[in-house]
Amino acid sequence: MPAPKHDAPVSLDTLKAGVWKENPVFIMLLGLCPALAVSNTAVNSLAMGLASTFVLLGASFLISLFRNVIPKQVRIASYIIIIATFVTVVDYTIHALSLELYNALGAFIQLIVVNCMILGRCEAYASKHRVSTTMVNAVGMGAGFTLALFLVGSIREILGFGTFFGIPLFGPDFQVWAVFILPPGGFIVLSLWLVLFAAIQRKRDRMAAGKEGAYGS
Amino acid sequence: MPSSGRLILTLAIIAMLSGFTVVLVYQVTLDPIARNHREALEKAIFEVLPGATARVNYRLDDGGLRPVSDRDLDEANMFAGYDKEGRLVGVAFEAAARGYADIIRVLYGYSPERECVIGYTVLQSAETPGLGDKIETDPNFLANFDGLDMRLNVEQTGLKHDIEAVKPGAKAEPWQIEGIAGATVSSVAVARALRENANRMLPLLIRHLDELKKNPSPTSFRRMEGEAPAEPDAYTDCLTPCSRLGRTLALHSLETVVGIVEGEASAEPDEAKGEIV
Repeated sequence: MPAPKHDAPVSLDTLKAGVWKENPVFIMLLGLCPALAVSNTAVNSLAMGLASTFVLLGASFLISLFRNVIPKQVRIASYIIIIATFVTVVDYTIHALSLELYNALGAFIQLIVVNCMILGRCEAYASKHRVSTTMVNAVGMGAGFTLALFLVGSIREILGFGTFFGIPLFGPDFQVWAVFILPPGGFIVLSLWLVLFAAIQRKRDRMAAGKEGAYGS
Repeated sequence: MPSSGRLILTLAIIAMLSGFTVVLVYQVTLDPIARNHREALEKAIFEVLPGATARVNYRLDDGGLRPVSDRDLDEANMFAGYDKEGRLVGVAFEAAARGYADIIRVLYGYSPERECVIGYTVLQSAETPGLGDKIETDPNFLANFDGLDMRLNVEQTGLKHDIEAVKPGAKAEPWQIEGIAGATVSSVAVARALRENANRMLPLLIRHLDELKKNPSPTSFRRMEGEAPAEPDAYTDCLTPCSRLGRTLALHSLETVVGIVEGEASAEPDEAKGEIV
């Protein structure tokens, strides 16, 4: 079994990494399918984000806990079963809680099982780190995923329905921009956020480089 | 490399634990999910039958009319609504047809007295947001269904005038449905669902109308309220939750297949374009 690589102590950066620097959607471009498909309203985005976060937390916990027990050769199969179990639990729970939400999220709850963000984090992080570090990191990743979906979903709802969380923002004469609720709108809004995040990242890098240069001289 | 036995054992243990968890969650959520579905249907029934305060589920087919308990809700295809005095307000039918994205399922209320539609609501649709989903929200479209003519022909074998969808602003007759601009396929699908269902069910209904008009017997009232049925249904009682799920799933897929075969295989291309534009 791979020995844990000099596990750095849990720090705020472990948590923050997923939210900003390694945001699963905006930086790593993982889990784009649900990010585009169910982000047409703020509520749907939040529900999808939270459901995925729950699955990520549960699967990461178990995989990290048993990382030295599961043989390497069957690890992916094991991960898939564990993830699928949590997805099924979420699916039944949402169905029992609210039929409306269940219908709105449609098949995408079941499709969390193939969300590459979750399998990716299990394989790349949970299987190599201590439970405590993994959980902190998973919380950050889940929050980052939820935040990304929420940002996309809010813009799409505001422009496409003229509402935010179902509350009308504009007068009754507001002409909704239907394209933003349709699939192309998902791509447009996501790409705009990607541009923004890339621009901020670039500016930071440049500033960091400038600082280093200053220290060096 | 670990032995094959170890690999198999690991996977087997994980799969077993997984199966156990899934069954546990399934058992816990079974009742709330069934209740959610029942409540949603009940709300829809009272919505399409204004003034109704009690309902009785029925199965109406060529074999005749028989009440259905809430437990076998899947078998019901007709819901009679009664007001406080026990008078028949109307009958709700579930109709389905293939829409733009998927099967559209609607529930409509029919008044045998007025021979017209008195209420309409969409049970399930995946129509395009902002365009096709106006079949649920557009007030002009919804106005079509208040008094939509459903008189039977003289022979009582079908509708006198078939329900049809017309272009926006072209509604001239009480049996026409004024379509939604930009959602032609969805509007036509709703009209087709109502037309096909009414042609099949109304001739059957007229034969059993007197039976329905009678105050529902105490038995059916008790069944309706979800208490134990007068005669225990041995077949239902011995069904395990799992086999019940299997039956429901089988029913649903059957329904979908029938819906697809009954409706047209897919929307025509030029019509489809109409929706996107």
